[in-house]
Amino acid sequence: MKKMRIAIPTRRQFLVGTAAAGTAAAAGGAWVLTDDPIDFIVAMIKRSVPYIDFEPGAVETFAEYYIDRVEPQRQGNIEKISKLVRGIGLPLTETILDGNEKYENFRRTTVSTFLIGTDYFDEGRDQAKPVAFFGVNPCGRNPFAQFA
Amino acid sequence: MQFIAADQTSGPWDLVVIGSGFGSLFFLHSYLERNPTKKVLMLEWGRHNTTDWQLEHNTNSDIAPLSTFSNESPKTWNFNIGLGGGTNCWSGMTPRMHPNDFRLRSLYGRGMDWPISYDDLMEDYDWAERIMLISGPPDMGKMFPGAGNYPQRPHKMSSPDLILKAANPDVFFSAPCAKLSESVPGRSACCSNGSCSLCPMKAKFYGIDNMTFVFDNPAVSICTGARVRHIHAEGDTAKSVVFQSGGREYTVAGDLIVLGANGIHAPFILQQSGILDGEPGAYLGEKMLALVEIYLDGLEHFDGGTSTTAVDLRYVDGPHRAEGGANLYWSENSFQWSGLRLDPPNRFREVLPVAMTVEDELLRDNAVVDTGGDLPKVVHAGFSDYAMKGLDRAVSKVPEVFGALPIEDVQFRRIEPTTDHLQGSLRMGTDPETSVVDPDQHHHRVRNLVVVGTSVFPTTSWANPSLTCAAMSLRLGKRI
Repeated sequence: MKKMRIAIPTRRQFLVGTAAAGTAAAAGGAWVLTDDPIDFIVAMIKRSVPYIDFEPGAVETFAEYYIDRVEPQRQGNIEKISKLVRGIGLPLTETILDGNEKYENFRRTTVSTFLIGTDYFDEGRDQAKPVAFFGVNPCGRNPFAQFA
Repeated sequence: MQFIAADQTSGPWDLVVIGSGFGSLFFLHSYLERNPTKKVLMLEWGRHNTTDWQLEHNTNSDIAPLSTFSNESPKTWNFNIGLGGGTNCWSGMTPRMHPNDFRLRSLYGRGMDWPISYDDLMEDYDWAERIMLISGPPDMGKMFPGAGNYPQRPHKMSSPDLILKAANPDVFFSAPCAKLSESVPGRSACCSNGSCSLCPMKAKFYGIDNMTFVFDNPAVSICTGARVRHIHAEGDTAKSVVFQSGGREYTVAGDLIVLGANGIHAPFILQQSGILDGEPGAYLGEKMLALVEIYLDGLEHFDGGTSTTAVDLRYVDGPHRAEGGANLYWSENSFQWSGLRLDPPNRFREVLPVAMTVEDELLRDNAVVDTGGDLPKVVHAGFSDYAMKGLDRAVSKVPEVFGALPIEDVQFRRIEPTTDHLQGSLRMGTDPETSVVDPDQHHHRVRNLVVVGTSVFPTTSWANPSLTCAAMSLRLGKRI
């Protein structure tokens, strides 16, 4: 399915210098040194699918889009986890939250929403290129659906 | 639509209708066909939030349900305050109730029998399905007598669904729903994105968009922002309705009063009116909604044509209902429920989310309570042992029900906080001591007061209630 790239003016663009410096991300385990929820979302996604190579800035663009639109109650919970992540790191945080249905649901639905907004599932994608983020569409969120 | 201001409502009116959800709309649809010259005033607490407004603001209403009552309950409750009521926020699932759902007491010794039968509703089930353009399978008559004559073809099942259908042809079906499989003027086909409460395609049936016969009918005047506070009755006759709007109070007289507010506010209106016959507010409840995930070995899911593609009905009835609630299994084709599978790598689609609705038993002490203030209080102990036993059985049967699939693992995920199906608080019955309305939904004593909506359901069933509510209202509209 063709998706339109959504041009998102991001405060991330203003923060990216310091945030990037504050985020030490390694494949399979990200240590986030800030309590910016965007950094937490980025680290969580990258840790969930460490084997996927994304275009630079792809995950960050999604994370900012996501944080800008998430409902207030969930935003509050994300901020709390972000503070915990800043203190003890993401791997230990996720160890503590292992078996927590709400966190697991949040992690999976968020990662899924991001992946659906990329070209990862496009069968014709050039496998040699990093995965690109195109945007989150209000409809067509299930690219596997068949209607015939 | 003919909107009028509160100070233009003086009337008198032939009908004053309180609320504008499924109950009110389908009642008026039927009633006005036979009584086109009657003058109707519709009083709606909320605003007219168009479907475009709802999409733009990512919500169905500007009024948060939890701001309209106090909740002393381990669970939450949801409804929609706005023109169209629950037709805005519902998920669009439309199973009929099983014939034995109406005889729960006499067959299984639980709850109470309904004063009407499946046969009483058959004709109006069919009518409601045609009005909403239900998509469904032609073989549904195997479970529900007379069903299967759906105006829209069924949505495409997913790959696991097709295996299950082949293995269980008499109990496993494409799910009937009010989401189009084929576009019609003004409504697009479902895009299967899973956000059905805010359908981006307008594929789902919305009252405000798809019941123009009612809303645009010249007989109907609509006053929004009108919160009804009480019904004034003299002796056994309802005389008028008192509502608040813009800080002022208004009184409108009507020959017939139709109470179609939700299952928390409708009984509260009767309580505040001093119309206490049959214990309005008692027996509040709803069915349970829970989620399991079936992890599949080498079989991919999510390739169906709508968000909920299929339903297994083998345990919606049977002797197990004497001990625990009946249940059904929904095959969920949307990963909005719990996401794609992330572990192990690259098996994203090898998971089948299964939602289960489980019948609960309505208990007297679970109630809407009038404490004398402006807002009702809900006192509820949470799901009963009957529902929990039903859930335990439903989970234990997953390997059997889905045994045709290559199951790697089954994981229970969660019980949802609410199904948005408020029921029981103005229940119907033949005995005025134990019910509020009679089999024709007339108040037992105040005979020109009728109640529409799911608050009259005496049991929760396992089935989503909207279709049955619509059919009951169509039937009522023909009988007045």
